[in-house]
Amino acid sequence: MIRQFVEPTILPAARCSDTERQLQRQLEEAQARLAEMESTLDAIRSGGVDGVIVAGTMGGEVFTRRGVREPFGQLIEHLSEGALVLSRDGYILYSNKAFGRILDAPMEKILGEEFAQFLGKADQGILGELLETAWSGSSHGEVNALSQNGAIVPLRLGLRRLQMGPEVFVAVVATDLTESKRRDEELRQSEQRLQMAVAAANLGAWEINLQSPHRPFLLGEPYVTMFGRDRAHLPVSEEQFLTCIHPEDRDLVRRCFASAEVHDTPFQCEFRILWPDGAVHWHAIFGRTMRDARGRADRLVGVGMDVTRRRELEAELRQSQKLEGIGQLAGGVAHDFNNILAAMLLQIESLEMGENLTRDTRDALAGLTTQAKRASDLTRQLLMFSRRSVLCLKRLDLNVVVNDMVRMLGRIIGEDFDLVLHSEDALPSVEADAGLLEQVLMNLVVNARDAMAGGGRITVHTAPVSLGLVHLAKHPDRRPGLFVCLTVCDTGCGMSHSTLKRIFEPFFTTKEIGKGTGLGLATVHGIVAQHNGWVEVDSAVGVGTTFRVYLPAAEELSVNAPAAAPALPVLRGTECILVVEDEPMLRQLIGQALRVLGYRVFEAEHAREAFTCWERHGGEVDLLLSDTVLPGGMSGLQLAERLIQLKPNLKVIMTSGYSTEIGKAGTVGKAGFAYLPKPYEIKLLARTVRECLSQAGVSERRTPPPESSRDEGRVRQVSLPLMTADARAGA
Amino acid sequence: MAGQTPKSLVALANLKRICEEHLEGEYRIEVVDLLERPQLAAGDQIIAVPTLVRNLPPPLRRIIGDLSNAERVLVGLDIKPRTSP
Repeated sequence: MIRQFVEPTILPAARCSDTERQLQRQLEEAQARLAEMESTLDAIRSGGVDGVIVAGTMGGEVFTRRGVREPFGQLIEHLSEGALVLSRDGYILYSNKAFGRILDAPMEKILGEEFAQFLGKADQGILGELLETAWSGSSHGEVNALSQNGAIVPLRLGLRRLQMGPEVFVAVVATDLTESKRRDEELRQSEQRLQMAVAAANLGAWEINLQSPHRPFLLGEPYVTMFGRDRAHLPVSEEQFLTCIHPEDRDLVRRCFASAEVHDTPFQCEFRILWPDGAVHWHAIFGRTMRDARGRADRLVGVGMDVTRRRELEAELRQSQKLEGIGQLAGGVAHDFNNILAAMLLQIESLEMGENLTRDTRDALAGLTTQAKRASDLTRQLLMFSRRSVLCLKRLDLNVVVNDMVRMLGRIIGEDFDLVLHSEDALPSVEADAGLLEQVLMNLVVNARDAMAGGGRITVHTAPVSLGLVHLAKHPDRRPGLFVCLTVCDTGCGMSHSTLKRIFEPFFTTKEIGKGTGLGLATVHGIVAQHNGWVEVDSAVGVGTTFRVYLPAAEELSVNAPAAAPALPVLRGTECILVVEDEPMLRQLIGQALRVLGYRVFEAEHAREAFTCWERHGGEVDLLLSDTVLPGGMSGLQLAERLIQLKPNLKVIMTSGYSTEIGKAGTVGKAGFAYLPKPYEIKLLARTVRECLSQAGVSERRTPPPESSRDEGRVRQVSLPLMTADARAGA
Repeated sequence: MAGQTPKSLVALANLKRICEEHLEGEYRIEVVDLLERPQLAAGDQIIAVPTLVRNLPPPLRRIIGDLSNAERVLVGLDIKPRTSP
């Protein structure tokens, strides 16, 4: 009925009056409103709505139908992942709040929009493919979304076909990967840093699975090289790993592992790994037990490294400490022994001066002298080894020393041997005792000759060597700087590892009894060490041996040759000499010998007695002859310094078996004193005393050469109280 | 709409499809959730949801329901002329 009433009446426009047209419009509007109302009522009646709006005081109040906002809806709203429903062509029909938060956009800007417009251009194609796939099931992938604030948000999308009654949609779960990508990146960087540290330390990772019956053993990348095996033969179980270990060390490792399974503390152990080629490598491993959620020991994990080189250096260090100890012992014995020898030789000499001696007695005395001198030679070598010989340091060119020696040695070693010298020019000078360096070269060359029974070639080589930090690992004594290297290389029988370890020990010899003293290389070691250098040895059995002696280069200074004092024929004199010596027998003999030569002599046991004597006779004394080491707290050197302050033109001769005092202050030669090593003969005593007294003016002698002024000054300025607490009285 | 319900979802999907078919590029849709902003209901005299309100061009038109009857939506939006039964 209504429809009939609102049936549109089409009238020709030209014939319509204004009133008619107005009525027509009103009619159409009424018809539309009526249709709207009808369909609204229809929808409400048929349940086609979610709720109705009822006018309230603040606007409309919404009454929704029961179940519209069900609990699952709430759940989705509160997810941290974005949840979307898309139409087949990719429009966003539903979005939870989380997706709005992810894109930093209000809901109005999301709902009804194309999902693709939130993605980068490149990813829009990906979305199309994901949608297409999801339409027949599900798909997932990663895309970069553009948030409203311009940030790129990496998203993982999971898409799934969603059927709701007759309609089909695509449900999407979008996970924001920003945080997880950041963590991934942090993890990656941290892993990179760890890998660098592990690689730098040459550490290898390992792991033993404790829950699997065979206890599989896994090796990390750098560790696979530390077994000397190709990959196919690496240990793959704990048992196989144990068989790679030296039999003597297996129990240690077993105990370590067993204890680690019980205790949660990290463990560390060192053991030997046997390489298939027979080499023995020391390994150090560090590890701990990892437990599963139930607290059961799950895995043993850790790192390992090859510490063979470190162990070798430690052994070398121990060896050199042992040598040091032996040296101290030998030096101590030699010092006391020297005093006894000195007394014996002087006594023999004074006996020989007697006029009514039978020929037999003279022969016997000559025999005694020979034996005593041999004993003296032996103690001298011991002192060289123990670094207690007194150095007469001079700035010198090693090439000059070596050239002279090689010429002489060439004659000594015999025709079967080829002695070749390669000396590099422009060698920096060294501060050294030429005589001792000659001894070093001779010992090494003689040693090389003895290693080549049927003849061979000995090469002597000198070269400057500059050591940087990278070169230091090869030998424990190495340090950075400029050095002169003296190499003696032979083509002889070489040495085994066990021999090599002991060659610098005194009295160690591989030669037949009576052929060698076992002091040759020990002496080399001592002399070189005393020059602040060191010796390196490379040897291979059947190939030959190379000794390298490193001496520190002296600071660059011009060398000026000191003028040699001419030997004086007259050995007697009448001057006044103060003899300070704590060994009564020796003091008496020296006094007696000097008096026989015409000198006036005062004797003192130690510095205090010397000062007492000086108070009365100081004006007369021309020469102080003193032992370096004195009892009572003041050394001979200190005594000499004090007396020179009182009488600047006093001459000084220091005697000693050895002297740590001298070693510290530089050398006696540098301090400006003459030096007389014990034991000495009366002839040498007479000559030294005469030369010293006859030397040119005191002031001239004491004026230091420019290059040594610093040392001289240091010694001169020492002004100690008469009796110091420094009780270095070893003699 | 009042919350994002299956009906409002379907309604939005239908609307999107109809608009793309008949008004391509010449429409703008605003989704209003009356649970979030109930005061907006009064201005457009909305009685029940989901309701599609055509604001422009005037006169105001309202179509209730999930818009699954495309014919009715087109007529309601004055895209198609009303025809005789």
